[in-house]
Amino acid sequence: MIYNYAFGISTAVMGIAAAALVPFYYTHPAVGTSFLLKAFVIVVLGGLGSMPGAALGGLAVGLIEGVIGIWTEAAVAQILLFAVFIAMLFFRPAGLLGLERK
Amino acid sequence: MLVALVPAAAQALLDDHAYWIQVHVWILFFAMCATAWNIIGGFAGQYSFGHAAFLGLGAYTSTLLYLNLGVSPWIGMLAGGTVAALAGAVISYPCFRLRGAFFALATIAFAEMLRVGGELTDSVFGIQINGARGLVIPPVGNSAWAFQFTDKASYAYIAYALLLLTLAIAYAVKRSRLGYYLAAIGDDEDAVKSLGIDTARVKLAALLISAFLTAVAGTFYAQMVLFVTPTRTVSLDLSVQMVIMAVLGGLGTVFGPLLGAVILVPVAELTRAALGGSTIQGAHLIVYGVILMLVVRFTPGGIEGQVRRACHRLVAWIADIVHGPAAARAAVVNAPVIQLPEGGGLGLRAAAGEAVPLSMENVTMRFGGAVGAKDVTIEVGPGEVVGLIGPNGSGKTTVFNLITGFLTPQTGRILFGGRPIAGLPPHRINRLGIARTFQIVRPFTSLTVAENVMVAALPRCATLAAARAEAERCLAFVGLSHRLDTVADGLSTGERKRLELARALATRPRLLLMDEVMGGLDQRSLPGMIELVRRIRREGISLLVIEHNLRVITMVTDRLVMLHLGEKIRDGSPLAVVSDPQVVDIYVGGTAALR
Repeated sequence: MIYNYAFGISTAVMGIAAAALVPFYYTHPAVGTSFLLKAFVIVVLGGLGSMPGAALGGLAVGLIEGVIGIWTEAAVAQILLFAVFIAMLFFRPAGLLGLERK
Repeated sequence: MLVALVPAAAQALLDDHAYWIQVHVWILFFAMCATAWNIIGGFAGQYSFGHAAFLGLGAYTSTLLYLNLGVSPWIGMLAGGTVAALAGAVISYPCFRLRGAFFALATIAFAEMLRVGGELTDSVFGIQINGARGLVIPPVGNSAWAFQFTDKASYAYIAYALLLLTLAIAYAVKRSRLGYYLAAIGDDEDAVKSLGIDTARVKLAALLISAFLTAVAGTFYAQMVLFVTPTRTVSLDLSVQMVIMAVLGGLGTVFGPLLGAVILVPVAELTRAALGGSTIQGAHLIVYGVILMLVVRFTPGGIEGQVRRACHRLVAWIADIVHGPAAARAAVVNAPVIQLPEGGGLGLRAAAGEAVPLSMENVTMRFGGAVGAKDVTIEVGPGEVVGLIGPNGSGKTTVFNLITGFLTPQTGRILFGGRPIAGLPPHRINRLGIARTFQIVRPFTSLTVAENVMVAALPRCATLAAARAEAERCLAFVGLSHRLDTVADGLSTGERKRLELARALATRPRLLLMDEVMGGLDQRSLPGMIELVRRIRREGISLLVIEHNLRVITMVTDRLVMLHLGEKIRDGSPLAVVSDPQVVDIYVGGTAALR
C-alpha cells in the first residue's frame, strides 16, 4: 500500500515535470526513454534516497552536458556522463550526498 | 475484431514461404543470444542489460576483418568472440563489485558509451567504421567462405548449428562445477565467498563464455543482414530483448531462453503483421506487452518451469496407473527431533592437521559514527571452544565478520596460526581453515540439500562424484541424510541451521564460527544440537560460538567472552562470567550498570 502511494506520487511528479518540458522540447511517444537513463544517472550520482543529492546530481549532469556541449558534440557529453556515472558507482557507490550505509 | 484479424493474417503469412524462413531464423538468432545471456544473467543472477555491446563487437570485428583484410567471417567469428570476451574482462572489473540494479545500470552505461562512441567515430586507428552510417558488406552471391548465401534456408541451417552449439555449451556449464558455483552465487554470493570460492573469478569465467557466444551470434547477424550500424547492433532494445526472453522462458535453465524466443519472436511477428497496419499505430507493441505482463505475472519462474512441472505430473500420473497409487512414495520423513547417527565421525582431526590458534588483537571497527568493535582482543586456542555473548548490538556478529574477512578492521591485528589474515578476502580466509555459519541462515535455496554442501566441497574435490560423496558424509554427520535431494527452500529452520553447519564442515575448517545455531530451535531439538556441537568439537575443530541462551552456552564452552557496545568486558570461565553481577545486570536490566 505504501509502495502504491509512493509510486503514485512519483508518477504524478513525473507528469508535472513532463508538462513543464513541453514548451521547449519535442513531444513523441518515445520521448521518455532518453530521460529514463539520465534520471538513473542523476539519482545515483547524487545519492540514492537523498533529496538534495538528486537536485545536486541534476545540476551536475546539466552542467556536464551544457558545458561540454559547447566545445564538442552533445553526444560526446553523453559518453562523458556515462563515464562519470561508472566512476561514481565504482568509487563512491553511495553517491555525492548519499548516506553512508553500514 | 482482434480475434477475427489474427487467423486471417496468419493465413496470409503462411503462404509466404520466404517470410516464414526468415522468422524462423530470427527465432534461432534470438534463442542463441538469450541462451548466451543466460549463462551469466540467469545462471549467476547477474542481470546484464548491456549484452548487445558484445553482439556489436562480434558483428563489427568479423565485418572489419573481412572488409579490410579479406579474412573469412568464419574466422572473424572466433576473433569477434575473443574481442568481446576481452571487453567483458575489462568491464567485469568495475561492474562485478556492484550488486543488483547497480550492476544492471553499469552494464547499460557501458553499452551506451560504446553505441554513442561508435556513432560518432568515423575511423579508429585508420580503420574506417563510418560512424552512425555503419558498414555495408558487399554481396558476392553464394559463397560459403564469405559466409554469404542467396537463399534464406542456408542461414537457417547455420543458425540451427550455432544454436545447438550454444545450448550444448550452456548445458555443459550448468552440469559442471562452474554451474554449481554460479547457481549458488545467484542465491547468495556472500555465502559462496564464505565457502572458500573466489566468486569474482567464477563470475568472470561465466561472463567470458557468455560474451564470446553473444559475439558469435553478432557475426551471424552481420552476415545475414550484410549491414551493421552501432545503432542497430549495440541497441538497448536488443539487450532488453535478451533479458526478457530468458526471464520469460526460465532464468537459469538451459532450455528456458530457447522457449522464450520460440514464443516471443512469433508473437511479435504475428501481432505486427495482424495489427501493424491497423488504425491504432503500435497496437502490436501493446499486445506484445500485455502478453509479457501476463506471463511474468502468472508464471514468475518462467515457462520452462511450467513445462517441467507438467511433465513431472504426467510421469507421476502414468506411474500411478502402472504401479497403483503409491502411498509409500508420499511418506516424507519429518522428524522434529534431531537424530544423529550412532558415533559417526567425520575424521577431520586427521585431515585438518594441527589445530591452530586464532588471536584477534586490539581490533577496532567503526561504521561512520557507530562503533562495531572497540579495541577487542579475543583468543581461541587450538581445540578450544569459546562462547561469545552480549546483548543485541554488542558487536558479536561484527567480530565474526572481521575474522572471516567480510569486514576489514581499521586498527589491530588478526592472526590465525601466527599468520595475519585481516584484510584478506573471505574466500582466502576460508581456504586457510576458518569457516562460519550465518546468524540468519543462508542456504542456497534453489539447490538441493546435497548440492548445497557439494558447492562447499567442490574446491577440494577432483570430481563432482567425489564432492557428492563428501557432501553425503557431512550431511550424515549432522543428521540430514534423509533430506539429501530436498530443495533447501523446503527445510525447517532447524534443518537449515544444520545444513549450514554441514556446508561449513565440508570446507574442512580448523576453526568454525557458529552464529546462533541454537537460535529459533524448539526445546526438543536443543539436546540434539548440543550433542552435534560436542561432536564437531571432537573432530578437533576449534569453535567460536555466538549464542543467546546462556544456559546452553555454558554447557558447551570452555570459556566465555562478553561483549557490550563493541567492547570486551569479561573473559573467563563460563560459570564465572554468567554469574558475574554486572553481566547479569546487562542482560536483565539493560545498559545502565556499566557507565
